[in-house]
Amino acid sequence: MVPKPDMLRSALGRVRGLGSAKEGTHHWWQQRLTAVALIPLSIWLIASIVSLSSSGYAGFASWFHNPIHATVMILFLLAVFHHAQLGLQVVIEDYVPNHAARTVCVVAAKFACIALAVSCVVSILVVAFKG
Amino acid sequence: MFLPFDFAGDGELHLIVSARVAEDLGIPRKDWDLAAMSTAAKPATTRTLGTRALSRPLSPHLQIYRMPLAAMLSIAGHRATGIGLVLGLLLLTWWLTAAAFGEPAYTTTMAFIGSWFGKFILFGFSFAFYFHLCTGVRHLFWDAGKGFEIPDTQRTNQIVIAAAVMLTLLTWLIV
Amino acid sequence: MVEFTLPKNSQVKPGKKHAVPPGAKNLRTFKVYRYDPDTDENPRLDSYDVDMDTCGPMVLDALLKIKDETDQTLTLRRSCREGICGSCSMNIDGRNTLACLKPIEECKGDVKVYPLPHMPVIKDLVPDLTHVYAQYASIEPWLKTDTPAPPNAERQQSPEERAKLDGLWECILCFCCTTSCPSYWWNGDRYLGPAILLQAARWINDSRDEATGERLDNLEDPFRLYRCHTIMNCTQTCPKGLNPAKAIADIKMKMVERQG
Ligand code: HEM
Ligand code: SF4
Ligand code: SF4
Ligand code: FES
Repeated sequence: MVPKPDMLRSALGRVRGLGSAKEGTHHWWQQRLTAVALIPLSIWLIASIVSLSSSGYAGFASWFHNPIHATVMILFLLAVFHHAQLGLQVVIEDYVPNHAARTVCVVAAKFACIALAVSCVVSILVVAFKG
Repeated sequence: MFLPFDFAGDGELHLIVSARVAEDLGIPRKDWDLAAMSTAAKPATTRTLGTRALSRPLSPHLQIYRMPLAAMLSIAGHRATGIGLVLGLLLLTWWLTAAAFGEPAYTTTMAFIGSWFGKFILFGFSFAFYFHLCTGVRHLFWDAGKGFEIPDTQRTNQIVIAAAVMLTLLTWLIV
Repeated sequence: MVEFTLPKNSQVKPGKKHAVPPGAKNLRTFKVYRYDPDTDENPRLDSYDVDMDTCGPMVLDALLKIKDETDQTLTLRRSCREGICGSCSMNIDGRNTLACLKPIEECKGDVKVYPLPHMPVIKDLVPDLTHVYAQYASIEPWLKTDTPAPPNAERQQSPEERAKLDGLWECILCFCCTTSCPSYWWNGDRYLGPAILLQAARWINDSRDEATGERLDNLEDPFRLYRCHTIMNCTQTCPKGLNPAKAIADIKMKMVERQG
């Protein structure tokens, strides 16, 4: 631990700091729940990608005309972007010590994940509802 | 970063800065130890401020630690693949949105993905995925309190690596 | 970004090579981290050849032999020389362990000896433990009760309840685990680290304690507890064979359990 400029504060005072956030379990639990959901969902996605790899646009479109396929795909997207956003937050918190920079990075990662998730879901819906 | 304060009780403001900053400012190391400086001047009124701690070097860490395989799998494995997969999500988004824009866009995207470079990237993502999946499942067992003994970990290290390689190869054999 | 490299004043320079003891045939080389706070110089790596024919089997024996016979300025902590006081923890051959329990035989090549990693160094192999001791104080490591103890008797605990403390009470607070943990390296100002969390588990699991919930409240924090990513360096390195990673997982399970 590199000494900080608040050397005159007692060691215990520094450790107690602002107190515990009384939070963190929710984040941790969501990461596990999305991980469990992703086991079947992502294997399903790999299987779909493999089967769609050679069937062109028509094959892609007809695959997602099936409401079950569209539903499972959207479930995958919600789970994976939630999981990715939670994971990125942990990585950023680990490596960006400055509070302001860390907050900016975490918020940017969350916003980016939401934007990507929504565009993916909309894309699936567009394909699913197109004739 | 700076905290000007008359903690030596000698009527002068002193700066408390980290060792790194003191060094950048070119302050000689002997002057970093204010406790020693001020005690000589006013023994009765000064406290030992522990400012010597500021000049202490940091002991080597990454430079010398012989990382166990489990740590490598965790950091260079699970974490790095997790970040890699986020990049994979960008590719996924491109693929899906292209399809929403219609056949021409979709064909362009598929041309890229079908090229040797696209296939190369996909191969990388598929390995990252299976690796993250396998270490992720092990994480879930740990979270349930299972598999914490050192022999367990050493065995699951091997299983995780072997399973990730096999699943990747199996997938590409089917394609 | 956190700093993965060493600050300028901490980079280890090549050091002195001390003379080979005359007449010795069975030599092992020890490369030892040295830092002298009374000079303006950076830490350095000194090299000592030790005669194995006249040296005890453990790394601590060699370090004390060096101090006795070659270089009295070598500074280290030790007390019990039998793995129970926790003083002689250091990084030997790339892993944290107790010098008094580490056979020289187990080290490959030159025996490299450094202080516990990513800690402020007071002198040579002696790290400043002020912060980690304060972290220990912060978990209030004592029995907390509102119910008065029965008159003229101890607070009772069944053998099964007592067994829950096994694997926890044996910790000697050597901090080998804490200073092996990369999460502690990067976020040790707020993350409590494996030794302190194992100690927290020791009180959380004590059936006589009446402050379990309060203890969990104080740990429930993205940094104090949840910086643990189950990297497992702690368990791999504990010289007492304890399992801090598992103790931490148990705390996390209790956090979930009390939610519903
Ligand atoms: C397919 C897309 C996936 C992406 C983009 C993804 C991404 C990530 C990221 C960025 C992290 C943070 C890494 C860290 O904290 O070191 C993470 C953590 C995690 N992932 Fe995934 N992941 C995916 C799939 C899965 C799957 C299928 C599982 C199933 C078991 C899984 C299990 C986990 C677990 C348990 C963690 C927490 C690790 C920890 O606490 O350190 N992930 N993921
Ligand atoms: S299991 Fe947790 S405490 Fe132990 S080394 Fe890993 S991150 Fe640190
Ligand atoms: S858990 Fe083991 S390594 Fe950690 S402080 Fe206790 S005895 Fe030392
Ligand atoms: S000298 Fe006591 S533990 Fe090594």
